[in-house]
Amino acid sequence: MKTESLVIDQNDGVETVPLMFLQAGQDAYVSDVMGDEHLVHRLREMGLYAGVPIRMIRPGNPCIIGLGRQRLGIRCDDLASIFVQVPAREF
Amino acid sequence: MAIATEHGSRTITLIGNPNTGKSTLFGALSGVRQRVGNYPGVTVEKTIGEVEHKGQKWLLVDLPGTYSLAPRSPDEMVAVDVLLGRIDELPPPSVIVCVVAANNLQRNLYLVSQVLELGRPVVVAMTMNDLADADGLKLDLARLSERIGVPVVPVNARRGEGLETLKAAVEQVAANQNCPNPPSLFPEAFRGEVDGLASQVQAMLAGRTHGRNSDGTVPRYLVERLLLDVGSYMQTQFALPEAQASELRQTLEAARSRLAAAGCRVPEVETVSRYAWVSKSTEGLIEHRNAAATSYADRLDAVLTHKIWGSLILAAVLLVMFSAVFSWAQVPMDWIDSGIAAISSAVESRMGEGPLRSLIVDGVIGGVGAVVIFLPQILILFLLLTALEECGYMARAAYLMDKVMLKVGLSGRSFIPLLSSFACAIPGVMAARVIENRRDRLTTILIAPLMSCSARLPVYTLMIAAFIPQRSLLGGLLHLQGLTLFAMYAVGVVVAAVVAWLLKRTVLRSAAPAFVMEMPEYQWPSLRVIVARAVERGLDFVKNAGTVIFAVSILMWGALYYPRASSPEFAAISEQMQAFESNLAEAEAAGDSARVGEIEESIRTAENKLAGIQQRQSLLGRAGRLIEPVVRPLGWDWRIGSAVIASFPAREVVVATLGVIFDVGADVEEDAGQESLRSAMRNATWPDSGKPLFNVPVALSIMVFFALCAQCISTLAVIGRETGGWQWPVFAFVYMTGLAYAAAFATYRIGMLLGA
Repeated sequence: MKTESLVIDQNDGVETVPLMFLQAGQDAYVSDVMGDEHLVHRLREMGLYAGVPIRMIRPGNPCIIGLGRQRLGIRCDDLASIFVQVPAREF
Repeated sequence: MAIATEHGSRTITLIGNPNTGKSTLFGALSGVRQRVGNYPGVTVEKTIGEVEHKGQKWLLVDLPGTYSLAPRSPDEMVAVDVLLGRIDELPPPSVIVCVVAANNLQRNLYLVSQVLELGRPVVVAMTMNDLADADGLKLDLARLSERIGVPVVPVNARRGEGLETLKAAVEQVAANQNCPNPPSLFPEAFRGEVDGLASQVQAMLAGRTHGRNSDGTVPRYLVERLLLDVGSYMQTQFALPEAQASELRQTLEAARSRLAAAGCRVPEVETVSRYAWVSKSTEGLIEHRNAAATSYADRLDAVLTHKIWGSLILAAVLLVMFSAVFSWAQVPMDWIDSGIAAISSAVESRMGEGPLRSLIVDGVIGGVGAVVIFLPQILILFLLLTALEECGYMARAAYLMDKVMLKVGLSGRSFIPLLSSFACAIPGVMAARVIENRRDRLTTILIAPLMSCSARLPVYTLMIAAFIPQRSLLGGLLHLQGLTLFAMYAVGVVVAAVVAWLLKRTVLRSAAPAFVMEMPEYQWPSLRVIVARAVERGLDFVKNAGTVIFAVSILMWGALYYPRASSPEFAAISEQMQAFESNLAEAEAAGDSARVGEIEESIRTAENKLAGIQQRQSLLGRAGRLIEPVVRPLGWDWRIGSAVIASFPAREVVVATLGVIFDVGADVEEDAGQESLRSAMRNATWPDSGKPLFNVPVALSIMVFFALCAQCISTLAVIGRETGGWQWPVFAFVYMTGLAYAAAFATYRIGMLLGA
């Protein structure tokens, strides 16, 4: 699967990509959380919503992300798909 | 109400996010004395303790950790009801203490913003300050307190710092009835809708008592929730007649679309508004000194959550844990063993032979003693599991196991309840509460009792020590006995995986659950919490040994001792015995040692025969022979069969019942306890053929049966309570007993084939 084909959006030097594309230690901003309504709301309550900075701690699926000081283990699938914004051309 | 009168109206209720050290604070405030119960109708744990401050006693209520006060289920509703004082059995909180972790301030303040809206006096207890310090985080607590309008007290519960200040702050806000002004954090449009809705709900409920506070109003917070939580539990809370309920639904939908048009989409409007309030409240108060530095926790996680290294470490941790249970427990177990032996020989030497001595030595000491000896193993297992949970490792284990659990249709979340079930299925079943999806939760609950709990240890240990040879394999790297024990644990795990896979494809069909889990900060486990939990469980076990096991032991003894045999056959052998004994005296007088030995041998045979006749004549013997055809295919005789059936209340009872059965009529000259039971079992024979009753396949079939059976009334009761009905415990009992029987049968047959 080519990385380029999955890039959702690209403008102003910012790319929107699935969370899974982040490498260990890479910082990004959450752009969108989609999936099951209740789960998405729960994630927002835990501080995962559009605009917050996150850091990939342990890539993979499930992955561990850093959200401020908290560490969140999360599996990305139909129930929760997370998209993040990174500066363009980092990939 | 006893609680209310003793403490007046002084009640402190603790609320906070998970992993904020709330339980540690609870323990530090109330000491070890705490009562754990349940709120009626729901599975929320009710932990109650007592705080003393300046000679006054306060009732301390702990609520389960939560990220948000948005009731989505009856369980979550309880927390809100307790905080709003809408629960009959608890007085409304005079003060709500909201526990906030300094290292996760934003997310924790989200909950604070909800608590502030409840209209009760609030004190914020700030924990984890040391962790935040280590991260180079500096907070201006005084200004934070000013901005949010309630006292903020830094505490370190482990070191007991800040507790007095916290108590003083609580006393002060309670005395002044300092209710914070609820922050008006929602947009104008939303507040308008809530006002409208509030009067409508109030009108609908006019003349009814349900769903109100004592002053007759519906708390504004609940009205907000009604609007915010789409399809939530709140709507059913007021128990409105159908016509009004549908009217309310229409009103809510209309209000939500008006809000969406005004740019306040439900439910986002809540998180957006609250987080906006949080950033406004903390703006300029947080100073990061070295925010960019990776913490030691991340470096630790780099190893502990690594696909290969992490999994290897997890395997090693589990291995060390289970071997520690055996090696550390050996010494205290020997103490208890010799203690029991001393007691029973003391009783024997002071009492004449007869039913009472038999009752005390064989029934009570033999039965209860055989079980109490396992207390050290159970305590150690609980200490270690609690320590793993407290230090934050358990969440990492759940993360690592998610991939594996997904294969059987569960998420990593199910791993923690299942691991706790190795100590005891009861806390395991209760720990499944954290699983949100009902079908996943049920599946986890139904397979949890298949994990070999500590009550199986007595059975395994007894059988292995008595019948599995002490043989080293691979040049001493492995031991046959240890391997057998491992195999018993593995049987449970493998069967559980298959059962989960089947359940998730049939009766509990559902998609794979989501996995979202906070990885808490690593920290040294609090000794107080660990010890408290282990002691609590140990007391439970001793209480069980003192009641259920005590009663079953006596019943078993009575059923085996009575009625006394009086058949002609019995009389004949008795006469024969007397003849032998006079012969023996003659031979001893003549100094004929060969003949003495010969006669002693005949006396022993006659004694065994007598004991055998007595046992078969007894109540238990008669009942046992009725069921013998059922257990015969497993290689069991009526004695094993009735011991197993009598252990229905709790698995560990089987050791006691075996102790009673094989002790009554056995050579009681020997020391009591484990040793004698082991040798009594080794010497037991089939009455018809005289062949040994127990061999390796029989021992294995007993162990496999106990690995899989549902012989535990308490677990079944907890499953009933947690699933809200009797169907699931019945299902668990039937499927587990069926599996246990089939597997024990297969084990015995295969064992006999291999052995032959």
